[in-house]
Amino acid sequence: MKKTIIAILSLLFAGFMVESCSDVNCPLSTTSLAYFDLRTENNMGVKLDTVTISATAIINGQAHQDTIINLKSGLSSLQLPLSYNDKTEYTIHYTQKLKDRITIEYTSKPYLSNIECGTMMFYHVDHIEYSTNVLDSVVIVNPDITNEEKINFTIYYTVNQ
Amino acid sequence: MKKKLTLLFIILLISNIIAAQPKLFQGITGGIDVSGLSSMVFGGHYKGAGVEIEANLKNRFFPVLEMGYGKYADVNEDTNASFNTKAPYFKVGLNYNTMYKKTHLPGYLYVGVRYAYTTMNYDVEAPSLIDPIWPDLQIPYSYQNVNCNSSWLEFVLGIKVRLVKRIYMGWSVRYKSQLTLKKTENSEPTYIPGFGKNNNTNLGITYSLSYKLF
Repeated sequence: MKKTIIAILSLLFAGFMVESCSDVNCPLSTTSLAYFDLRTENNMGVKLDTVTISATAIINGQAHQDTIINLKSGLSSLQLPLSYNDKTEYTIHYTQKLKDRITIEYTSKPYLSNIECGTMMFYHVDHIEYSTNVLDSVVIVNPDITNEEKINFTIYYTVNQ
Repeated sequence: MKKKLTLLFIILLISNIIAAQPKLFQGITGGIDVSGLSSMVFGGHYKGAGVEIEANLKNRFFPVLEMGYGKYADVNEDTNASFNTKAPYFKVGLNYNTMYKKTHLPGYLYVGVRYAYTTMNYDVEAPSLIDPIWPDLQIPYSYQNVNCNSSWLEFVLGIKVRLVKRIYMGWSVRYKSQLTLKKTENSEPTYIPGFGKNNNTNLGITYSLSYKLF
């Protein structure tokens, strides 16, 4: 009788442990942002004067535009959301007339690492185009845009001393 | 004459040593692991059962083969994401009886190691992803029959106690360390049958009943 009780209690304890023994660590952020670092050609950090940045995407044949950053100054890096479409065009407004366009083409990848953490969208950059009104060039540093804060692009500017 | 005596002494010594050695093969034990079934008592999402077969070599080394089948179904209340899988798993390894000299005791404490492998298909669904800039754009998330495989190592600490005659029960605590996981483009498995939740490491416990076949 005693052995039977021990056997049943052991079974229940094992079942409890099977359910409770492992926890999941979800990432702190599930948002994937394109991370732009701003540099001079001498690889010095750059701070932008007041800028406004808008994003445009073509969805169902129609262009949709939204303001992402509105009249912010002193930015030394940019973290910008991407549309779930395969192309997003950012317009950096330095002044009312002076602006640059950066167009990113990419492959979107919906991703779920665990049902407790929910879905995320990752991107792989396929192609980039840009104007050079103020900026000098844009270089792809890491084409995989994920929820990890890694630099994806470097925008180079010429700074007048 | 002296040489003959020495030779005779050596022969007697070797034969005594051989006679004193325990028999190499001391039987086969078959068992079932029912800890996966009992998790249902606690409203668990995992249901599973396994069988194991173990050879006894010198009452010291126990090569083990384990096979099981696990089923996991869960919908997360916070994210509304769901995951379903059912798959077999296989484990092969060795237990070492730390009390092999104490044959008079009704049980023993052992340590062991396992190499484990599973190949599985799973379904995963979640609410549509809403575009962070243009909320009208929504991407559905649903993937069926996603194929994946995983392997891992288990370090085992356990005890086995004789209940009656040929029937034994045993507990084991297992530290599981993932070796490989085939990731797919859009998901990772939430749960891996035989391993547990998809972490780098897991701690598991088993409860088994076994029968000494011969």
